[in-house]
Amino acid sequence: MVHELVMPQLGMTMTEGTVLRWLKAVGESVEKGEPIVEVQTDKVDMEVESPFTGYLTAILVQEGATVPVATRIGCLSTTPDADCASLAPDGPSAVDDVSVQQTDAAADRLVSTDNGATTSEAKASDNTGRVLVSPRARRVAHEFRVDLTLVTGSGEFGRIREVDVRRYLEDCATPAAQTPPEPARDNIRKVIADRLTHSVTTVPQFWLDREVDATGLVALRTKLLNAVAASRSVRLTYTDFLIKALALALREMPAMAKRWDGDRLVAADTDGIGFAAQGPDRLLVPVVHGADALSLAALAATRAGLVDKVQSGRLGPADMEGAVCTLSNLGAFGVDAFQAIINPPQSCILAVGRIADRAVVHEGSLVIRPTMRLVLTVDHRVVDGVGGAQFLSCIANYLENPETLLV
Amino acid sequence: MAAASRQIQYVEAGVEALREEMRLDSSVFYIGQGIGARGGNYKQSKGLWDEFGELRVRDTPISELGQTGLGVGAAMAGMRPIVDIVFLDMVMEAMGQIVEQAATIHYTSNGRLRVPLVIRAAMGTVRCTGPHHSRCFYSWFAHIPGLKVVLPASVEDVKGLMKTAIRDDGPVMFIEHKFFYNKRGYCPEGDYAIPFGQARICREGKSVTILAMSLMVWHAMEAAEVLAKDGIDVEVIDPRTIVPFDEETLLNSVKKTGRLLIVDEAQRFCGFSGEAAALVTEKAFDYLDAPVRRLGAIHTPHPFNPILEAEMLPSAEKIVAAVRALMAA
Amino acid sequence: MDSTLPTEIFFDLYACMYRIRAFEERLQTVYRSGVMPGFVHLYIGEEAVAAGVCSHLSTEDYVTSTHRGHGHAVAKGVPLGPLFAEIWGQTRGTNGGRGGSMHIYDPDCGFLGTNGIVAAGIPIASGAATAAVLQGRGQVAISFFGDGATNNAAFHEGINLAGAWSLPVVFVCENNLYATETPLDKATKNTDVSSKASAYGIPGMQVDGNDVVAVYQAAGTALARARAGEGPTLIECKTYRPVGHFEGDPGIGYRTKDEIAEWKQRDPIRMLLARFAAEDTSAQQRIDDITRMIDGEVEEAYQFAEASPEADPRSVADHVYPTA
Repeated sequence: MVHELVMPQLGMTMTEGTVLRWLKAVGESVEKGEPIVEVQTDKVDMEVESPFTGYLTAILVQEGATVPVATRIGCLSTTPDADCASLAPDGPSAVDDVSVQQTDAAADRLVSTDNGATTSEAKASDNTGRVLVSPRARRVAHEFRVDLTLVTGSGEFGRIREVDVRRYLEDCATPAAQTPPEPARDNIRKVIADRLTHSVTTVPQFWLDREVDATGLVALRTKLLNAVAASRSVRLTYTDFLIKALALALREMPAMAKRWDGDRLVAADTDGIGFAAQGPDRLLVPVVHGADALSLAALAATRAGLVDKVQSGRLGPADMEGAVCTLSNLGAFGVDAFQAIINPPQSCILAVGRIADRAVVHEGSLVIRPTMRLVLTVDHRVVDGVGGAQFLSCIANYLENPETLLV
Repeated sequence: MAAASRQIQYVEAGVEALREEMRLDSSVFYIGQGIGARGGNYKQSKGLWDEFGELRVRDTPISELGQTGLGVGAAMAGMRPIVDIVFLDMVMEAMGQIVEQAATIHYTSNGRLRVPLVIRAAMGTVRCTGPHHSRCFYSWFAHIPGLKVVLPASVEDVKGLMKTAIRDDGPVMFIEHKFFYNKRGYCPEGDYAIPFGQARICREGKSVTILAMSLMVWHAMEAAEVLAKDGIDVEVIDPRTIVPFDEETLLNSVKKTGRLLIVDEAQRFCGFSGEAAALVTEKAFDYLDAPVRRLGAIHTPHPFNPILEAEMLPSAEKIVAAVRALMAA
Repeated sequence: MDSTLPTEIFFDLYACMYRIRAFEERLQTVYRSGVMPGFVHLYIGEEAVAAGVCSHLSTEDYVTSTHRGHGHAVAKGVPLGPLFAEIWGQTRGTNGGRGGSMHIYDPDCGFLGTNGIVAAGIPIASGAATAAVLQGRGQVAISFFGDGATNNAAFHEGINLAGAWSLPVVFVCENNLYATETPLDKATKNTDVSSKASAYGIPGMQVDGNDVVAVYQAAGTALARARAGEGPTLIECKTYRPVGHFEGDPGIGYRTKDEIAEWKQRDPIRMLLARFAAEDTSAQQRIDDITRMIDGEVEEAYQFAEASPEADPRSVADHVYPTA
């Protein structure tokens, strides 16, 4: 029995993935559940487990290559020698045998009535997106460690020939160019760039700015630090209060927990609050679910656990699923306020600046108070100005009266 | 005329080889239809009967099977016969004696009996020689263990290869092309034998290799001149002998150029060109920059009508087009 | 006893025929035991033809033979041990076991091959005769073939060429009435094989192929003619094989048991022995001695063949082309 191994869908938004590292070689045996390949998505690096027990009999996508989700990347079989040839032809498959067998069958049926003066071998299968490379070009590319995905072919059907590899080498004057570029980083930034561009160009966003008095917040947090530490061995942070406030506000205003589906509003079938966290090499957004019902201590523990995963690179796609809105806090970097960009299909994102002592007017006098600037970005297709303002107001109320978060 | 530029006809060069060998070795004798006093259909034995007489240069009845079997028997009994069948097509009548007897005896006798027999015939067309006088099925003999197959394509080569054929201790199919006979070319004086299994690089080049057989060598050279004007530098190889075949020269050439076109007057399907293509794909795979392509006759019997004949066969123009397509592949 | 011939000839003819018979019978026994590969066509019953013709020949003369040629090989002087081994496919065979029964070659005694292709040996014999003319040492060639070959193109072309060129070759047809299972009268309108000689302008003779003396005399005449440069002769020897076409063929599907029994009465060895008077005790003694000696030869031949070393698979590609 032969089974295909495909690029898995790891996360709702994933459309393509990069093969980072094959953990098994062709011919090696593998158990069901054993990691067989490491892939990179727009958000995470993940080990993919083998769905079957057997042998890895073919590797169809090499390390460093990016393919769409569901592309066949390898073959597994119960015997060490069966390869993918017996499986149905895959669209963008790199298996060479299939089209050759089809051509041979055609030749068997009918002796060609041409004498070879014209190229009668044009095959539809060559238009499937397969990269054609002549053996000679492949050999030269290997010798000079050229990534063939970066070379443009000038042969028929776009075939890469030796001259194309040589031309590529000439164009790359710097030594750095002779080592394979890191597709992973490009891939991530590309996805991020695409996502943000998509958000900014397709979602009509407006911003609501509110400064909240953080006196109560600061006091309550200080008061609860020890209790939370004792209870959960974690340090209570402002993020925890903010997440709780957002969760409760969403519960009060279900209109915010919606998304625009092209021609109608659809209720978000989830309740997660995402919060931006800095990983070792990029920003990630873990999601807390059911935050409205969690105690601050429990919330803190959950949040801390997720942050730990982010920092150790173990955050999985499930940890990032199902956010209705996102919290982004740049206060630690001295930012007073900023406008964040919505992560579609979420309806809003709350940008929070630093808590700092500021001069404010309180009961007619100028006083020094700790304050915090909130900027809420809202998808205007989901909610209007008033609705957004009310939502922000709700959040602000919780934060200025933080003991209400404990109810 | 200075010796270095001695120009004689292809047919004369063959006769020269025969005459010299028959003088050197009295066991060499020549039989065939019309090759005696008449000197042969193409004058391919002219003067031999006059010099060597009836016993050594003997006309046969129209009995290709009988002649060839007679050649086999005489060879087994210690002579070195040359059996001239004149037209390659007529060799069909003698196939049993060639394949089951001549080719097999040395092996089956465990090396105790040799069959030093040369079977000579002319293949190919010279403008409408028609369905029964134009075939080029030399590939069939290449497929039979025990036979050697020689396709001399130049005046110099036909003399040197004929000598080697006569001196060979086994059966040799010596297949000339009708078109060549009255063409002049350089031919060295004196005794020289060209070994079998040594291809001739007729033209050196870097862009593409053409392996061509017999008359197609001449067409390939013509095509190479045309292509040179466009900066396509063609290397033309004439294998000279199909069995034994000079693999090394072909492989080295393909390793250099990365592209191979094989041109044959015989039908493309199931001919020697397929064998050469398989060889290159097997042994020079990583040096190929394009698929190996073959140009051959369309898969039909040979039509008499000149337009149809031209359509069927490769030509210099078709070679040019095929090379251009190969450069773009 | 035929007084035109020296008595010694009769003993030689007996020895030759009995050698063939004893050899073939031993071969038959071994073959039936299942140890021999391939198949064999036994010469039993036709001994008079091989013996009668080949007794005239030296090792310098040439013979081409048929698929049923063990008898020709024995009569021509191919040593029995290597002959047995070759038929058995053993490495000690005349050709290393590469040929087997139908591809036996022994240039040391001019034996240019039994042949798996019917009639193919006919033009080859003409070729050997051509060489003989060119070499000028007075050799002759004999071509043996059956009635089946007489309808083949090679028969026509090979004999015609020999006639046109007056070659020193004698064409000997062993007409045993059947080509495998096809009777001659179903294969041709003219079943008189000897008459076909006239189509080529050469003499044709017809003899009782089971009478070794008659064969001997006819062959003598034809060979004298050949050696004198008068060209070829076609001799038709009417004979019969009481055994099947090949060993394993019961031989009765296409023939009647009566016909076979009738011909067995005319067994060539018995016919020769009948020429010796029963009272001639010295002749009988001589015959016994010859018989015993030949039995010993045949047994030795079997032992020789049986002791062959195994073939080396690495030799499979040897001798495709002659090396210098």
